[in-house]
Amino acid sequence: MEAFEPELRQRLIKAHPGLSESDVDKIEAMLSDRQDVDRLLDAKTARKMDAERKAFVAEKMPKLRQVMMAFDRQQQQKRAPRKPAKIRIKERPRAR
Amino acid sequence: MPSYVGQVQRIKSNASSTFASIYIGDDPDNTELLRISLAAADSFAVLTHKRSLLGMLIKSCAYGFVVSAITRSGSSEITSVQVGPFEIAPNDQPVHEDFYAVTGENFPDDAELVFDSDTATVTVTPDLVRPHLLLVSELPTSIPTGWNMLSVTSSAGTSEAFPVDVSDQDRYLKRVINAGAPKQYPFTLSFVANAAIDRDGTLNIYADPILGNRSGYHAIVDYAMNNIFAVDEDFLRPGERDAEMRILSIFDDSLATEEANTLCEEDTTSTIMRATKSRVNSFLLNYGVVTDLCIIFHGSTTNTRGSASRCADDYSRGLAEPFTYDGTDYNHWPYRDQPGSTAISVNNSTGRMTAIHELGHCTSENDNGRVRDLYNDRTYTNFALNKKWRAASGDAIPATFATYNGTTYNSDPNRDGIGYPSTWVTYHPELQVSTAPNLMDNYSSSSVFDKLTAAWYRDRIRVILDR
Repeated sequence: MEAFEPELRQRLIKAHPGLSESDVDKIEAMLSDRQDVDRLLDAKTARKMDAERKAFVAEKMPKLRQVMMAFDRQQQQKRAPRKPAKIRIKERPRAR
Repeated sequence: MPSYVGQVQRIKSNASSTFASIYIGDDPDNTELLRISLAAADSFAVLTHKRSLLGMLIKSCAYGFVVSAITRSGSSEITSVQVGPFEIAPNDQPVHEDFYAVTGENFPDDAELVFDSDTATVTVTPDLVRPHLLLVSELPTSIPTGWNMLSVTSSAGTSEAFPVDVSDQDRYLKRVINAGAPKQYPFTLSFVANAAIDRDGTLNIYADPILGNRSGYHAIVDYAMNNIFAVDEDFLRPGERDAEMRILSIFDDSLATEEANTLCEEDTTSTIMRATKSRVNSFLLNYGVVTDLCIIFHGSTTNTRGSASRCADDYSRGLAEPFTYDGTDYNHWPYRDQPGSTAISVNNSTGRMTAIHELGHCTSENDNGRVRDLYNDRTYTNFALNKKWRAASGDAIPATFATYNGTTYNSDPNRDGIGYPSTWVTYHPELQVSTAPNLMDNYSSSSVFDKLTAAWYRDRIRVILDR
């Protein structure tokens, strides 16, 4: 998982008055840790981590997903258009 | 055993097609007459082999390929045939809008593919150039269908032309982008279009929109190939050994929306998508694929942030290479029990280093070294290769980070220009390039791994490539 962008952090803090940088650090770390656990291989740990994270999000940043989705969508719109295939075509004259 | 090298000038057969005369030589007027005879007493296997030889010789005659035909001593009966060598080798049939790869040696950066037919000459600039590989992510439809002579042209010259039959039929479900070393289990990287997404980990699944977005899939594979093989970080192309890696793509839009095809799981609290690593092996076996690493592309519109799950090595297969880390014994194992897997959005920003960052996690291992994210202050109970921590944040960062296989690696005292927050206890190994953050940290486009992780990966990748 990649780090939260500084702008996303600002948006999260703006959307949740009283939210601190360390709160954002904590959810970022919780999400990073969760990628270690495959639910099918270790359901108990996954359930525990999910419950802790959900409780933390509900208490500190209930709009987390909503803010992330809006931010991610804007980032995708900034995505560079795919470069067109570089081709050169030389047609042959048809034989008469 | 005698070997006869040259072009197949002509082939004649008797009326019942049980006997073929093959004329081999570079001069049509000066050839060696060899033969293949199909006898009634031949077993099915022998007959199949002889027919296969004959088929190769007929094609070689039509295309003008040089062959090397081997006979038994004192006999003109051909027992084996080698075609080539060729300067270039196209992978599979070229199909409009499908991946198309050509392998060879020493391709320079300006290499181009030239398709020459009766009606046009179409020159295509590959989307990725490696010394052994030219990859076009979507073969242009402007190339005339039917037979073309394909060559590679560059500042270094032009290769021999190779006949290829360009098609506008359906794109392949499975494409081998690079065949890799000719052995049963070469180091394998798979790209997969996911079929079903689990909304919340309860098998509340829906059809992955990526299966309706073939063009987007080709674009994101193009991005991934370039992000893995054309950036500064070269851990998956050590000493150009990526030529030995098998790289393949699977896009199967006939897949049902069912559990077995659900390789991605949405996180309900955020926009993270998780790879369901434990289903990857059985999914890929349906396509005859065993993989070490898997990038699962998906089309979720809500969960577009990638995440990764490291390898679980097979501790019972192959010869492990032992190593020590701070005096403790570990192993680099050659085979995987479960592949390192990552889920990446088809709409992932192509300006980011997502693919190589996530593969940085994926390629590491459960018990023999986990490559961790460095942008947080998390500490762990298991073996984190690239992260350590102090008892208190006020303690000085130790000058030495770790000793790997007898070599001591320093710590990064400054965390590049980012700096360690005053509350952090964790610290990182010394950077290879002090001007760019660590690839596993808040990276930039020129980021690479630290010195220790790079050394550890060099050994781990070598063990996998050498198996």
